[in-house]
Amino acid sequence: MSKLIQWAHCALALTLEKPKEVGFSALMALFLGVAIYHSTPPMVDKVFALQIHKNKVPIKTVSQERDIVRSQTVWVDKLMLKDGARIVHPKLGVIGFGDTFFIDVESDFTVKKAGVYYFIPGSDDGFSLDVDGKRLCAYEKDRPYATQRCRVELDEGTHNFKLSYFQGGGHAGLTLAYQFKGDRKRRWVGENSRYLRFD
Amino acid sequence: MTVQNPLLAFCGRHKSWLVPGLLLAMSLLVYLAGLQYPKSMFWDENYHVVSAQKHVDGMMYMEPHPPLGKMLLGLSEAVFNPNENVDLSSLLKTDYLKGSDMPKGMEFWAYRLPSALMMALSVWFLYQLLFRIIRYRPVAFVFSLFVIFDNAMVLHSRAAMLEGVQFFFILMSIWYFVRTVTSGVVISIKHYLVLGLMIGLVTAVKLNGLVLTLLYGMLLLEDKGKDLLKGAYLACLERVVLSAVTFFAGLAAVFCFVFYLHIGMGTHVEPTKKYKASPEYLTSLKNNGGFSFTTFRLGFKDNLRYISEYADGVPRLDICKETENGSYYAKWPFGGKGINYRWSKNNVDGVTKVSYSYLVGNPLIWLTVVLGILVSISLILGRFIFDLPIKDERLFMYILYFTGMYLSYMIAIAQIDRVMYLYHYFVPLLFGIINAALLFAYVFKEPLQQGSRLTWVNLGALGVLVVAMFAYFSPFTFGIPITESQFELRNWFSLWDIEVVR
Repeated sequence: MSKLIQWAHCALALTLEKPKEVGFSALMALFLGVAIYHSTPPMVDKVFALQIHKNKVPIKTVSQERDIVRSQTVWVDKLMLKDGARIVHPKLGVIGFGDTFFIDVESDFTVKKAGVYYFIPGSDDGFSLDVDGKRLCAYEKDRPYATQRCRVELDEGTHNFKLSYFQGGGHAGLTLAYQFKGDRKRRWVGENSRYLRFD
Repeated sequence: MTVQNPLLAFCGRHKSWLVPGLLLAMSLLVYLAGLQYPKSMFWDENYHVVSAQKHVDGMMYMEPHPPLGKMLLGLSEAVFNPNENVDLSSLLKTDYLKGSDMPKGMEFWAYRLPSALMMALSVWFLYQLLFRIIRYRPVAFVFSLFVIFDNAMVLHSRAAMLEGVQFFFILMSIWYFVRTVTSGVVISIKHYLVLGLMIGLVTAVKLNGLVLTLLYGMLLLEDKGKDLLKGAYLACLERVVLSAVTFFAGLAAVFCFVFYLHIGMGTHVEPTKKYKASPEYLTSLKNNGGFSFTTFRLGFKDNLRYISEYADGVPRLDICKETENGSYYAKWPFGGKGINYRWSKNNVDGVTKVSYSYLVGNPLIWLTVVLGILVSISLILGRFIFDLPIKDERLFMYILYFTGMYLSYMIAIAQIDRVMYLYHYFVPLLFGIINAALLFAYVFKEPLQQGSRLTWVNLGALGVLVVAMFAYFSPFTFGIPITESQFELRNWFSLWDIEVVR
């Protein structure tokens, strides 16, 4: 601690003695900081593995037969993938292939409080959502971004969900939120709360 | 008694040529290595290569830019002739060669050589002029690095474009002005003439070089400024008239002579491409030959008319257009908008990588220039509005000159309606680089005199950072394949408007 104070004292003395030089150093340090910040790959918690599949032929419905030409996996922390008219993660930036691709995400989650939950998928274009192997809701065809409210009753313990999505062309976006009945607050799937936990 | 290291002693004795020599070596390496790549044309190369080839083959043609740059491109192609066994006849029938029409096996390095080589050599002028003003070699050295390690200037000048050639003449003109003023000789009419001739060369490459005529005013100010301040206007009048006539006569003589050569050499007329040449010009070309003065008079008039009509036909900036590459001039100082000159996608081991030639500046250099201009403006305002004292009259005058040139260019550009591009900022960027060096010397005058270690460390760190930034952004400059995420890591500011190829 005393060394830190001594160091701060020296820095202050140097600044007072040579303000222009220290100012110039500070400017360069600021630039370097910005450079490092921009050049560091964004990192998020690896909660969901998005399986992204580029399809060879145009996609009309989420359940159509797939003809995959290329695939990639992107890890994200939460399912909020929309900014403007594109599939964008707030930290990772643009995700996907531009057009004609599917995204599949499947994960376990823990229900900490039993009760009625609402899953609120938002998609542009179509999606399907299964919980514990049963279809909860879907919008098969293409559409502008819109959300649906899908009700499900869940016991305490481990459950599983699977979300499939497709982007045909033009604008895009994918989100999935959840809400516990009786609590007005919506949370993105991936955000832990006293109701659900995603690991 | 201390024994000096012989290597250090040698460097000390020969630093006057070792320092610019080191700069030149770095410059030549950066600008000339791998000039044959990419093996296809991009951006305005599709125009300039065609025009250069027309010079080689003695074709009559007209173009929106004066011909000196393309003449030099053609000269290089004629001297080295790497396309000796390639049929280039298709180039003579068009003004824009599409990639699909490119003759098979065509090489471009000879067309690119004049721009790259002259840009590389121009660093010598930059170093010399900075050293002449500042008198500190390390300061001149570090700020000369700005021209070698700016990604945008390197990418653009390594192509068969006009800017590299023009920068050589620009820096030569500024160097001559500084040399005249700092050498202690009495300024004579001869100096105005030589300066006029040099700026004639600048203008004969691109017309925006006319901004350099400001150097005439500066030379006059250095010559007769004291008399003018004393109010001896009449005594100066003769000098003003005589110097103006000499300067502009020199400029016009070079400009006209370049056109004389251009018209004189272009004797073959392609039946399908006559560029609206007047019948009188074509007749005179046929009857009197290219080098007759009658042909020159008529051809010169037709060429100037063509330039004017072409400029009127260039579209305006349309930011709503998705493919618009042009940008608003106010964005240029911050690097907007980058231009994707060309790209090619490769799949390496299952990973998609893209090679870009993306016009993106070295952010440290561009931000230093903007900061330098802002501080200079505040310094000048402080002097003239708040009567703040000046600690170095000479440096202050030079800061005034180069800040003035920067602002004059930007104000002039702001008046132009046609679409403009980021590389139109290169000329004021050069002024800004010189200004930044002068400002550094002005602000740190006392520490430099006292040999302040922190100042030298700062200067060294600046130089290292400039090179490091250049290296970091070099995939955009040299087409080094990168992945999407590697691209995004270099997409620093939304103002740049650069987009990854998916």
